[in-house]
Order: sequence, then C-alpha cells, then structure tokens
Amino acid sequence: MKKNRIVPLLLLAALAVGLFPGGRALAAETTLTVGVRDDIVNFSYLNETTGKYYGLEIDLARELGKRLGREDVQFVTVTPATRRETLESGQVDCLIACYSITDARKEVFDFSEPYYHDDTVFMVQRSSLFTAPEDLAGMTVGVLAGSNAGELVTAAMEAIDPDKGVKLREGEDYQALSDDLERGAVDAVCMDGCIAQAYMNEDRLYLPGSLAAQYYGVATQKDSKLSGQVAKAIEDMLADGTVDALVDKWD
Amino acid sequence: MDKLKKKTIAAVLVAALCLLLLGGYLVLMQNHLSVEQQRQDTEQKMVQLRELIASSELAADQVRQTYDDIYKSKAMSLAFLIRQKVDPELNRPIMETYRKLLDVDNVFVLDKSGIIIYQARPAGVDFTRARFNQLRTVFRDADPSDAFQVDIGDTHLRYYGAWVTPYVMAVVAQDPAELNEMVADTASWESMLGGVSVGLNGYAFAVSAKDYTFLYHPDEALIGLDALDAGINVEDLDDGNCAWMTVNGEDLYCGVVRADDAYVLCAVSRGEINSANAITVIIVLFVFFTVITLVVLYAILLLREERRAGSAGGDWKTMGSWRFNKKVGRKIATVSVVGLAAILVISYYMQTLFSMSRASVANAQRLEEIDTELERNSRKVDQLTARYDKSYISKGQVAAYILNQRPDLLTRDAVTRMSRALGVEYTYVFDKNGDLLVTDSPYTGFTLSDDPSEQSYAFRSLLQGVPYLVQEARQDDVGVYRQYVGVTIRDEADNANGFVQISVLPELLEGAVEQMGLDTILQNVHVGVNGFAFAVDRDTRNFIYYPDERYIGRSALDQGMEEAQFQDGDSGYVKLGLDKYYAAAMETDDAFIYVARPAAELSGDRVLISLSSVGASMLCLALVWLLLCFERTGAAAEGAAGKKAAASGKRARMVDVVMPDGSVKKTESAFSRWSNETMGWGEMTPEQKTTMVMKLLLGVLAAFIVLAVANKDSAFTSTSVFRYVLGGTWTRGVNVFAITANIMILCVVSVVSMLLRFLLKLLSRSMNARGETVVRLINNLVKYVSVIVALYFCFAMFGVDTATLLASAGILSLVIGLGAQDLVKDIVAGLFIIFEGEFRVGDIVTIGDWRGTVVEIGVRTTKIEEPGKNIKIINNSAISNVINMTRKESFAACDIGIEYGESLERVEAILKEELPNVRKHLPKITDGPFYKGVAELGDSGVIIKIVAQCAEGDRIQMVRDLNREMKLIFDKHKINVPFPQVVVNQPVEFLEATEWQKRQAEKFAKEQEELSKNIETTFPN
Repeated sequence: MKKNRIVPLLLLAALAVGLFPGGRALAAETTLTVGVRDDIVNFSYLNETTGKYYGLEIDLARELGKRLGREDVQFVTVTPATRRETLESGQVDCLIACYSITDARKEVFDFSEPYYHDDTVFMVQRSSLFTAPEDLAGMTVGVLAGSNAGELVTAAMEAIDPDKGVKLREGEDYQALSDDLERGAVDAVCMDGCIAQAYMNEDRLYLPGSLAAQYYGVATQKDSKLSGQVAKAIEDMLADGTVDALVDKWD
Repeated sequence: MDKLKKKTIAAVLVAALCLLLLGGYLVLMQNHLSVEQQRQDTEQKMVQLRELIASSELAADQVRQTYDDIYKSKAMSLAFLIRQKVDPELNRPIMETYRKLLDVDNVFVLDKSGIIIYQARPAGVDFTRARFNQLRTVFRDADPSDAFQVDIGDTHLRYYGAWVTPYVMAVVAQDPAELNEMVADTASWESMLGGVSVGLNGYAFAVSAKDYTFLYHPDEALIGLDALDAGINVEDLDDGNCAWMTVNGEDLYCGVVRADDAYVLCAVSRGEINSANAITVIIVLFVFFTVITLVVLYAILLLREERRAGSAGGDWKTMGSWRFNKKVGRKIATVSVVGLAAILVISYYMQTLFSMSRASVANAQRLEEIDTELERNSRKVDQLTARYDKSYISKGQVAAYILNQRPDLLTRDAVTRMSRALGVEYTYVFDKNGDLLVTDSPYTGFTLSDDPSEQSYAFRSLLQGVPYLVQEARQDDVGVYRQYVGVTIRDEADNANGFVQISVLPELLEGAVEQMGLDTILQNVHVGVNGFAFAVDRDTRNFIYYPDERYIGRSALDQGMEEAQFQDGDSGYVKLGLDKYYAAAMETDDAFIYVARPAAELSGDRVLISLSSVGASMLCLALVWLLLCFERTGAAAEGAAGKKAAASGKRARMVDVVMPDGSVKKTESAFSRWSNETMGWGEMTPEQKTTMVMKLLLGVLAAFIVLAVANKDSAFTSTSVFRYVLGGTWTRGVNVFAITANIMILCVVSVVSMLLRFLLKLLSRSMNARGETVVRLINNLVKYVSVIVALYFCFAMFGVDTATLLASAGILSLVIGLGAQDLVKDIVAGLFIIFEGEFRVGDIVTIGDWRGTVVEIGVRTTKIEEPGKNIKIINNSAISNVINMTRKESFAACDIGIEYGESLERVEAILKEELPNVRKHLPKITDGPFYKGVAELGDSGVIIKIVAQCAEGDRIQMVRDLNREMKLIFDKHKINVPFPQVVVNQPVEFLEATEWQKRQAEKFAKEQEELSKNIETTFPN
C-alpha cells in the first residue's frame, strides 16, 4: 500500500526532473547508488539464496532513497579497503557501510548524523578461560590491518598493565582474524561489535567493556549537493523514530 | 397490482434480506468464534513448542554430555596407561597403539605448558596457546578437563585432557562428526519442528531472529529465503504474539515463540479455520432458506386459496385499522416453529459433527506424532546403547591390554586403581579355566557357571576365543541395574588365556533411556486446552502412564473404561472416573496409548451458536409472519368474487373427505394416489404445494451431498471433516459420525432410487401395457431394495454386525416361511400373475364377483378399480377364477320384439337399410351391428336379435345405445313393439281332424323325430 502511494510521487518527481535539460541528470536523479557491505549480518549482508541484500543499512538506504525522491536504490558491495575509493570516484552516491565517523574521514567526506552507535570489543574463545580484558595482559590480540583498532588495544592494555603490555597481530581481513582466534594464533580479536557479531558463536564470548564507541554515518562526497539532502533526510529519520524502528527490527 | 401480489413481493424481499443478514451474522459470529478458538489452540501449541524446544535442547545437552563423558573416560584411561607405565618406553608406535585401543582420532602426552612430549599423529595446533587453557584445568583439580572444539578448515576436533602427574597430562582428540549427527537428530530445527502438526493441516516453521531468513519450513524451497520478502511483518515477530500473517500469499494464523536466535511460528491456514465455518454456515443458511421459503410460499398459497374461495373463507380478527388472518396465522406459526426446531437441531448437529471430527482428526494426528516419537526414540536408544557398549568394550580392551603388558598388576590394589581410572565399578580377571583370579569387588573365589541359565555362563564363550561379550544390563538381587562386559586376554600365541570382565552401572544410559521413554513422551503431549495422553498396559489393562500419578498401576477398567475401547484406532467417549473424555487409541507392542480431551471442551460454543442462529432466524420469521398475516382492513372486499377453479376435464384428483371429527379436508383420490402421473400444480392444495417445494429443496440438498460423496477425493483435502466421515475410520456405534454417514447413505440411496424410478416412469409412458406392468413391478422392487440396502448400511454404521445380520437372514427366511406364509404366497402369486400374463394393468377383469379395471399389480397386492371408481385391493394370493375380459372383443346384444302381425320381411328390409346408420351413430362399435335372426317366438311377439362388436369396457353402454337406436328405428318405421295387452276374442270353434289327417300326422311326427334325432334344442336361442 505504501509503495502505491509513493509511485505517483516518484512519477511526478521524474517528470519534474524531465523538464530540465540533460538526460544524464535524469538517470542520475532517479537512482540512488549506495555502497554497502555484503558480509555483516543485521547491517547489510547479501543472501546468496535470494541474491538480495538485507539488514539495517539496506532498509535505511531504501528509506533514504524514498525520502530523496529516488525511484530506485541500487547497492554496490564495498569492503573496508575499497569503500573510500568507491565513493571518491563517484561509483556510488553514498556509503552506508558500517563506516564510522572519525575526524580523519571527515576531512575527505561529508557525514550525516550517526544512525547507529557501536562499541569496539574484545572477542575470545571460551576455552582460553579469559573473562576480563585484564587477562589479556601480555597476550596476542588480532586486529584488522590498517584499522585504528591496534592503537585502541595498545592504549587500553597499557592502561591495564603497563609492564606486560600486549602483542598485536594484524589480519588481512575479518575472516582471517576469526581463523587465527579459532586456531589459537591470537588470544583475542578486537573488532567493532556489529562485525564481531558475524563471527560470534557459542564457543566464544565478548570480554566486558568497550574499547571505544563507534558512530556510523552516511558518507557522501565532500561538499556535494547530495550531502545536505542526505544529512537532512537522516536527521528527519532520527527525529521521527524511523531509525529507531529499523534498529529495533534488526537488533 | 393487487394486494396479494404486493404482499408476495414484500415477503420475498424481506425473506431475501433476512437470508443475507443471517448469513452475514453467522459468518461473522462463526469467524469470531473459530478465530478465538484457534487462538486458544495456538496458545496451547506455543506452550508446547516452548517445551519442545527446551526439551530438545536438554536432550541435545544430554547427548553432548554423554558423548563427552565417554571421551573424558578415554582420556582418563590414557592417563592411567601412562601413569602406570604399562609400556616401559613411550614412543610414537606405542602412542598409535593407545590411539587404536581407545578408538580415538589422536592422543598426546603434554607437559604442563602444553609442549608435546609424545603424540600418535601430528597435532596441527599449538597447545601452549591460551586457546588450550581449558586443558590445563586438569592440574588444578586432577579431574578431566571439559571438552572444547577447535575447527580449522575442514578439521574439527574436540579435546579432552586428563591428569597424569603434576607436570604431565594426557590429551585425547576426537572428530565430533558422530556427535554433530546426533545433535542434529535431536535439536535441529527440522528434527524439532518437522514432526509438529498444528490443527489439521498447519505446521511449524522457524525464522531467524538475526537475518529473518527461514531456518526451517516444511516447504524446503523456502529455507534460506527472506521471511520478510515472503510477506511476514517484522512487527508481528514478537515472542508470544498471535496474529494473522502472510507467507507466500497464504493467510496463516500464527503464534510466535522466541527461541534463542530464532522465532518459531506455528501456523494454521485461514482456509482451514474457515472451512468448518463455511460448511456449517451454508447448511444452517440452507435450512433457514428452506424454512423461510416454505413459510412464505405456504402463506401465499393459503391466502390465494382463501381469496379464491371468497370472503367467506377468511377467519379474520380486526384490530383497529388492521386485521389479522387467524387461520393463516395459526398455520404459518406452526410451520415456523417446526422450522425453528429444525434450524436448532441441524445447527447443533453440524456444530457437534465438526467439533467432534476436528477433535478426532486432531487426536489421530497427536497419536501419529507419539508413534513417530516413540519410533525415533527407540532408534535413539538403540544408538545410544550401541555407543555405550562400544565404550565399555574399549574399557575392557584397555584393561586386558594393561594386564597383558603388566601381569604384576594382578593385585587387588592395582585392579582397584585401574577400575577407578577406567571408570568402571569392578574389574574381574578370570583365568583360562573360568576361575576368578583377582577382583576389586567384594565377591571372590567365583567360578564361571556351567549352567546355561546362569548369567555368568555366557562368558565361557570368551574362553573359546570370542574376542568380547557385552551383556545386556540386568537387575541384580538388590534391584540395581548392572551390565557385564568381558574381553579376552590372549597369550603370546594369541590364544585365549582368560578374560577381563568389567561391571558397569549404566546410570547415564538408564537416565537417557528414561528421558526417551513413554512417560516422558506422553508427559509432553497436549491436546486441545486441557487434553492429555495416557497409556494402558495391553495385557493387564492397568494404567502405565497417567498424568495423575495416583492412577498409575490401577486398572483402567475400574476407572470406567470399557473392554471395547482397547482397540487400535478406537475413537470416542471414554469415562475416566467421574469425567468424560473424547479419546482416540493406538496400539503399540505392549500398550494402548490414548490421547484424550475433556468432553466439555468439545461442546464449546455449540449451544451458543445454535441458539443465536435460532434467535436470529426467529426474528426473521416473526417479521415475515407479521407481514403475511396482517393487512389493513380497508380493501377487504377486493377480489372477493371468488372464481371457482374450473373443474378439470379429467377426474378430479383432490376430493373432500369428512374426517371423523366432522371437519372437511382435502385428500387425494384413491385413483390419484396410485396413478403413475404427477399431479398438476394447479390441482394441489397449498399443503401439497409446500410439501412439493420442500421435497424439491431436500432433493437439491441430497443431490449436493451425493455429488460431494462421489467427488470426495478431489473435493476435500485429506484432513477435511467430510473425508473423515467418509473415510469410516471412526468407531461404529450410535454417534454423530454414524448419523452423518447414514444421512449420506440415505441421500445417495434415495437419489439413486429416485433417478431410477424417474427413468422407469419415462419408460412406462412409451411402453405397452405389458411393459408398464413390468415397469411398475421394477418400480416396486427398486423401492423395496433401496430401503433394504439403506437399512443394511445404516445398521452397519451403527455398529450392528452386518455379517450376523446376513446370517440371521437365514433365520429370517425361516420366520417368513412359518409366520409370513401369506406374504410369501402373495408375492409368489404376484409373480405368476405378471409372468403368466393373466392380466395386466388396464385390463378389465372379473375376480370373483368384482369386475373392474386393473390399476396396479404389486408384489403383494393388486388394485382393481370398479366402474364406480372405488378401488378394491386384493391380495395376490386371493386372486382366482379370473375372467379377463380385455383380451378379446366383446359383443353387445339386444333382443327386440315385434308383433306377430308385423311382416317379418318388411322389418328385415328396414334393418338392412338402417343398421349401417347405427354403426355411424355409435363409433365405438368395432364391427356390426348384425341381424342375427329370430331369437324367439315369444308370448307376445317375435323376438329378433341384434349384436354389435365392441370393447369390453364399452359393452354395457353399448347395449343401452343399441336398444335406443333400435327403438328409434322402429318408431321411425312404425313398427310396433309388442307389449302386454288384453284382446278379447270370440272363442274359436276347433275342427276335428279327419282319419286321413290323423294317420298322416302320426307318420310325419315319427319321420321328423327320426330326421332330427341328432339335433337337440335345449337352448331356446
């Protein structure tokens, strides 16, 4: 029903856009291309059976598309390594990909208000009998190569036990980190909560406490026309409870 | 438009409106009630699902624990082997031997930090890492470590550590493929939900709470697909929620249960919830339609009849400006009340039927589930027992290996230590003669028995070289379950040199088996809201399981159950103590299992629905009644000029009869009743017309039922109520199903016989008289046969043993032979009449002194109609001396006198002229008339005879007509017909005969006598 109400609006929007010269503008304005992850359950993951994306960020992107008056929302899979380049090059209009808002990133991209707040956590094997971050003093912690997790871990462990400190071991990707943890090559891994959730199983546990809070926002090209629209839309969604409802749905 | 027409239209409109309103009301009410009922069922089911999930998880935990216990014990055995230095030197081959002996995937000896000292195969992991901290817990309390699993690529291993010394531990690694399989068998969604049935066709499915994909669905194609895409609303997925949901376009009533990371939903389709309603509503509406149609029709017909009869026919009571037709009002009220009663009965009956058949089907399903569960559990018990047996053998083998390697350990002390390490109760070591060498048990000096009936005798086979023996667990004298396992000890030449016997207390196994026992299964069975399951021993008829433990062990018969109820598939009411339950039974090897629900639960809303249907119907009928019986006084005289019904050209089929109480009623004439023709609509009374319409409507209903019965396979799903009734799996007896089946049978039989008779009637119209006779006979036969067939089946449905019934038909025939001789005689005589063709329907016959037309030849009686239209019914056996006057043409004869003075020749000449004219006047004459000469020289005239050929039926009238014609002819020609008259004559003087004449006369007389001696004139004619 909802959709039916939207369609005439979209048609009107399309017509309005059509009045302006330039076919390219039309194509660009009817579709919102969003860079998303395909491996983070509950946020955005690709169901191989159906070939569709599902999750909080997917629903968010669709809602965003609607509010921007776009007829269609297309998804492009990005990875932590490729997401920056994908947006910079304009392959996608925006990133909704568990992309946390940091000062460094803010210099390159525009961010909306955060739609989700997450914690960076330690995940360990139950068989290691670790129960608190203190147990990790002098141990090896796996972190993703190129992420800021290493600094966080070092800082946190320094604070706990400056003598023993902590050893870091970098993994190529999250799967590699998880495998290392399983094998025992690392004694703990440090990840964002939503990502860790994907590798969580009944033989593992999170150590209590958070290393840092992460705020995920929608990233758009610096100073682009879309930035304002996206920021406005996300703000509205936060205000009218849409985001809360979606978070609740996928929590 | 006249008043009556207006009234008719108004009544029909009101009736239609009432029908619509009642239909809407019933649908709403039924829907509301059945959804409400479904909600209760679903909530019950949700409780059940929670229990199921919890018990499955418990069972899975138990499976894991059992599995881990076995391997922990192996780790302890390994630790013992190493601690006792069973082999003086440890190396890789020895480790490999240990691995094989323990039947595990790998064994290690590690130091405290996790460095490998010895290993059977390469480890592939670094035990020094924190990942393996779990193993090091053995140094803390000397107990074996809890299991944990490491999955690297395709290698999955569970690790178990055991303490050897304060610095050394033994580790066993095992691929848990078997465990995973067992767990999947216990706690996978499929194993849990696959056997769950909800309602009749409903099912359970699981949706991931993480990503909303289908984790399990009976339709495998859906598994892995997105449930939200399929139509489920995410808001509805809330623990404890009951709501309508859509899955792939199908409306389902679902209950949601949250379990870990999944939502488990039990779903029943809208179709199923509404199906019972639809039929109930349709039938109740149909009954209402019939009633209101009949009421309206009857009233209209009555009013019309009254108007036709003129104003005198009315019996009015004036009330102000309105007047009330008392006669019509009374009659309509009567019909309405009867109709309401019918609605009440039928609606109650339908509700009963549906609730009972639903309950029956649900009970049967529950039993099926129990059966599946029992089967699955017995398989699991077998598996479990096999696994334990294997582990016991392994223990025995380890013991045998130890004792073989270290004969010096054959001391009570060492054996005690070994028993503890192996986790067995006692160890017994026997020599090759079967004498007990050493044991840690209190029994010593034991020798294997030579008596095959003794428990120890079986172990003698080990001395002959059988590698091992596992005995089943047995209860010993004190009632403790104990299991004995023996493994042969071999000497250097590999010959049996005694054996090690271990005794174990299979508590874990017992516990697990108990978990899967009948009690546990039945405990978890819930039927309806307060239903439950119980079991009765097959032989003793004692309860072996009952929710109330006090009953267990007591006789079920004492509680009110009947012997007939101990039967596989029995379904019906069962009395248990003071309560009545609706139960279904299933027979297993040693027990009867019942699922029962309180009888009160079944009745539910029956009364409410029935009464509200009746209430609503009553309102409608009252409205119609008011409309039909009241009218304004104003135009009363209108149409009072009663037109008498034009008398039908045929015989009137409706005649007035005076009843004993003096009232005049209409009845169908005797002729009409047996006539083969349908009465014309116009000839019927209002009552007959109404009855006719009712019959028509019932016929339509019957035809529908017949269609439904004929197409039962395609028209109904396998769990539909109709199929249940038609399937005949219910218990025979006087119950609602038998009644329903009987109604169906009666419908089928009557529709078939009606069709047959209709065909016969059509046939009879185009047949000659003989054909019609046969058709009538067949008609008769069809009637009797269909009644007998219907009775036979109905008796069968009510549980009467029809075989006995058939056998008693033999006795019956004897009874007939003796007591019903006349009946048999009649029937046989009837058959002879028909097949010898003595007479046929339509023949004119004289039987005894009764002359008439044959109306019908029945199997037992024949009906003859006399010319006065009375009908005589004669028993066939009493028919004798029949004169059939139809077979040949009859003659009508008339004798007519003429005066002696008239010239005979002149009369004959006139007749010659006139007879052809007579023929023309009387067309019924088939031949003649003929002049047959002088019949008599009568006293007063010459009598001449005229005959004419005609049909027997016309003969009597023909005589009269002929007489008339002759009189007219004579009058015309001035021929006098003599009549007695007195003529006074002068006496005649008679002359004497002469002598010659006397002689001549005597001669003539003798001559004539001689000539005519062969001619006798007895008959004057």
